Amino acid sequence: MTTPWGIGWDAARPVRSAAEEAARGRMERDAELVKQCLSGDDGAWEDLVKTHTRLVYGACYRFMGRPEEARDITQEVFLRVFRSLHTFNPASGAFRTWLLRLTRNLLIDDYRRTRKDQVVDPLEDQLYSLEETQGWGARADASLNQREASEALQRALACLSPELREAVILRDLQGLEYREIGEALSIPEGTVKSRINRGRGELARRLRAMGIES
Amino acid sequence: MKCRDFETLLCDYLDGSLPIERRRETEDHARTCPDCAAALRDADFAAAFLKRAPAVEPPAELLADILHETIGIGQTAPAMAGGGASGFWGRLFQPVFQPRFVMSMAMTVLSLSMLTFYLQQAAETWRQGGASPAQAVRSLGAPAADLWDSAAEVFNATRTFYEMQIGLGGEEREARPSATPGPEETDAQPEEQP
Repeated sequence: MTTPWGIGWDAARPVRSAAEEAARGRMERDAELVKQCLSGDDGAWEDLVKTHTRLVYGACYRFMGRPEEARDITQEVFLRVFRSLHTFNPASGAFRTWLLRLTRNLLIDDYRRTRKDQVVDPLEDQLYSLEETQGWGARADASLNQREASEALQRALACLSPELREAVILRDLQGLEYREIGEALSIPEGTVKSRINRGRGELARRLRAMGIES
Repeated sequence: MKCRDFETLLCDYLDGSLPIERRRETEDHARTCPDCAAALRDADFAAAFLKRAPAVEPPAELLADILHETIGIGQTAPAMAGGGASGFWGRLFQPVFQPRFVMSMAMTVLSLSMLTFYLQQAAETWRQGGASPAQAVRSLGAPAADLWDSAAEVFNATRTFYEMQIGLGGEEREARPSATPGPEETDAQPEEQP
């Protein structure tokens, strides 16, 4: 059964408790690894890096859209974590949140440094959208292959402001809870949801401008 | 329900985490408000598109690079509070124990030893009379050259062995990240290599 605007009833399923359980398990495991690192265990450090490389690199890549620079920022993040791990306090929050806050700070620093290159002229933007529409044709998103979908997503994400982009990436691509995103970005949970709503709305308009329909 | 309330509940509605009553209120509002209905359609479309996006896989060598930059350059583990003594000393002297450094040091010691030995021999010959210092040194030329050639031969063979060992070690390091299981829960969707 579907609602009048096409959203399926059965799409709704309670997943919150399972996600919270998983988050708690991750938090305890990370806290233990950090403790072992601080007692001089290189193996624990390797495990900690292994556990979070994909998260950090994924967030950097989706935010920046440039693999080489995403890689450099990821390395910088872990180098800073290595140097400042003794300042992490498990009582004040999850390691993952602390790590993402650090990642976010570096990404925003980089964004500010390179902002001049990223400013898109409105007219150029419109022409770009027109070219995209002609190139892709009007297509349903399900018909796009993985590479096309990824390219379209990257281009659409690049059009979002950094505040909306980071919120959407952390929620929809990295699967973080609203609470975790709020802690990582230092904003209330309500603001997180508001940014995600606006980010999704803008993203949908950009995708449609490229000729991609649901 | 007001549009502002609708926006507040939109994320939870799409997550399916709203209680049934709030869910009905949200849907009732969307039926009567075209703007909120459009916002719901957009958010649902974007969330579904993002959900199908391929996961991004870090480059294979990234993990090794991070470990090399942090614990692979003679630094102690992040602990700085105690670390194992053997680990610390091992990392401290790690550069000294590199094969090339050890071989260079051995060759230097051998050269100095040979030079000292033969200079002593030449000085003895000169002191016993007869030959000039130059003649005394020249008289030692043939055996010294033979010994030097032998030492150089041994050095070259050992160097070749170490170079092969280093080459094999490098290949092993390159293969290592791909053999390491992924850190996060695996995604059923194909993974992307940007």
